Amino acid sequence: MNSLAWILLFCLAIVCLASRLIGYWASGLFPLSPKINRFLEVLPAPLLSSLVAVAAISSGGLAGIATVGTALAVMVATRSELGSAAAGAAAGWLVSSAPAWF
Amino acid sequence: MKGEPMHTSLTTGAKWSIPFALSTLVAGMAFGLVASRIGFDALHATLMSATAFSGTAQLTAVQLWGDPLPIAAILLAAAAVNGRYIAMGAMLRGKIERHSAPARYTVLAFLSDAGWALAMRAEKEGLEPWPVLLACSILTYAGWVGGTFVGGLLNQAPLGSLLIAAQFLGIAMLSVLLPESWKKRADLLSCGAAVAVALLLGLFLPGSLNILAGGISGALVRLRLPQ
Repeated sequence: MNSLAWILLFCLAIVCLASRLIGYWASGLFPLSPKINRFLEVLPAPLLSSLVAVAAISSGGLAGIATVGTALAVMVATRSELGSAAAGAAAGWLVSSAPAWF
Repeated sequence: MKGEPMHTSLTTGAKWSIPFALSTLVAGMAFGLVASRIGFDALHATLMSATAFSGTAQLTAVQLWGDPLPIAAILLAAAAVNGRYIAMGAMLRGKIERHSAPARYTVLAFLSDAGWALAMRAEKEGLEPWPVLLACSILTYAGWVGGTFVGGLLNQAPLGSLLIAAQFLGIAMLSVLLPESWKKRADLLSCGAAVAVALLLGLFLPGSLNILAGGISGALVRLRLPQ
């Protein structure tokens, strides 16, 4: 690797670190109004939902959707986390492997 | 419960993190393999994983890698795909304050989607979020860095059935955390809005900004609906 590549690796590390620290750090600079606090209270569930949806689509389309759908359905029915996650992963594997069987 | 020994939260966090660590190990191997195919040796790919610790940013970087190096484009893309961490970091304020500054910034430096989701869950269940974050950080970091090194040494993907299934384990684990937050109809509506906005904006926005935009939209919808 040349020196430019080393500089890029270093800068990439700084960007990744800064993105993790900046939100926490900035939220401590000013007292948060009750409205902002309420917003931050309700943000986790929608943020996690959009994260899961985007990850499902980008990790293989149908296989990702099958993973999420199965994991959610089994979780709602059984309340067993590991069982639901295993069922979801198995569904993802089944759908992604299916084309090879035909 | 809060006030219980720290090790209770740490061991629970470690237990919760194992599926994520397995999934990260496989993803790390895939990254190492991709990086080796564009000319990174195992050591340099591992160095990148150890210092950046961000799958999406690193994959973006290696896809844009070329001669001459598009430094600004790579750094901008990395900042865009990591945009969601800004909101996640802000949400962690108030949840890890009883620990020293070095302790807080250490876990924040290794923040991941899984770590954030598990910290939120820990708070709901009355556990200390910080040890849960710490356990998740250690395990997923080891998985990611170790996986990258192994992947960098391989010439071809050893994608057996188990490894393919493990790739889906991380998303499946994040999915099973969702029903806990669906207490009311308004929660479902706001999450539905978040998903719709994230998927729609995914067609136009770079990186993971659509995830952030989806989350913010869903939260705004939730605030407009009855408590």
